Amino acid sequence: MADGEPATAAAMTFLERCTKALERARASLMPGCREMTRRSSDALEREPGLFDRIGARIHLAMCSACRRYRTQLNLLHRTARRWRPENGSPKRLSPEAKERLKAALKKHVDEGDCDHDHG
Amino acid sequence: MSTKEIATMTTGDETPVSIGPAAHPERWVDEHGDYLFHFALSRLRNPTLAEDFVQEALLAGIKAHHRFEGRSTERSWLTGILRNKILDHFRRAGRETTFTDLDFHGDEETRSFEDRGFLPHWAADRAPGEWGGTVENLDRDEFWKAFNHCTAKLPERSARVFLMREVDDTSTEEICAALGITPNNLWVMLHRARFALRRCLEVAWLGRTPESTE
Repeated sequence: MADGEPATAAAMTFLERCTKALERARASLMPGCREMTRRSSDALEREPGLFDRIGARIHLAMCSACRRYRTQLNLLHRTARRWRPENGSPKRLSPEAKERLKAALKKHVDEGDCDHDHG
Repeated sequence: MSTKEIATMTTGDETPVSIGPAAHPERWVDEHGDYLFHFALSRLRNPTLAEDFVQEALLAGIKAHHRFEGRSTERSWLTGILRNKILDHFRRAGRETTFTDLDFHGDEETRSFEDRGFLPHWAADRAPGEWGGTVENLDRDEFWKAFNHCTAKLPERSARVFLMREVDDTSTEEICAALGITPNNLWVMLHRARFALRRCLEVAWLGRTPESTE
């Protein structure tokens, strides 16, 4: 059988591919907690694939620590947008820095021959 | 206000710009200076540089004042100018920086998990604790203090990416273009920043097991 060898090789490659695909599906469907932290972050950025989503659902249903992680990340995500520079002891410009800024702005306006003739 | 009150000036070969009497740059320093400074400092982490950028933004504000149409507040308009200036700065400087920041979180992440069975599970003392809260609960001064403290402790690049994405709500495309990175790089950086920040907040804000902060 002259065709025997290539056929076996092709079958091997096919089997290898199947194994790899199965392994990927398993990893997708059965994530560990570490992988789950990555998915929880990614979920805020883009739509996950089908297997990833199913796997995440199953994991979250069983793991309270990862549920908390996801909830907290979502909270952080919604709260961060409310950040304002004046929240929580902000850094301020020193009086000297303010004077420097004012001087620079004044110079800029003056150099522009901008005569506001008030009176 | 008549148009006569609006002085027109020409700077070099630029198109003429006009400054209305409504532009009071010195008042801007008093009213918005601290705000803009803190905004710039939290992103640039260098007081001198931050001051320079505030100045640049205010100068640009004077030039562009005729384009301010009162659709937003003066402050958010100036903040927008500052934000773009900083983004430009990152665009120019960003590509030189390497990805060393990514290594930083590696340790923290490794210590947070242990192999149980064949999948890594949370280490007992690192699992997320109960925050017991809503957004309203979080939106308090103590929280923001911890937030500022923790973002300042993140590696510079991580903090930058996190603030751009989560606070300024900059789009993925814009950040990637500014920093010269791929979306995948960005997602990895965001994941690590969030991971470290969440952990840091739990320690700094809720006072949980401080031994782990190192």
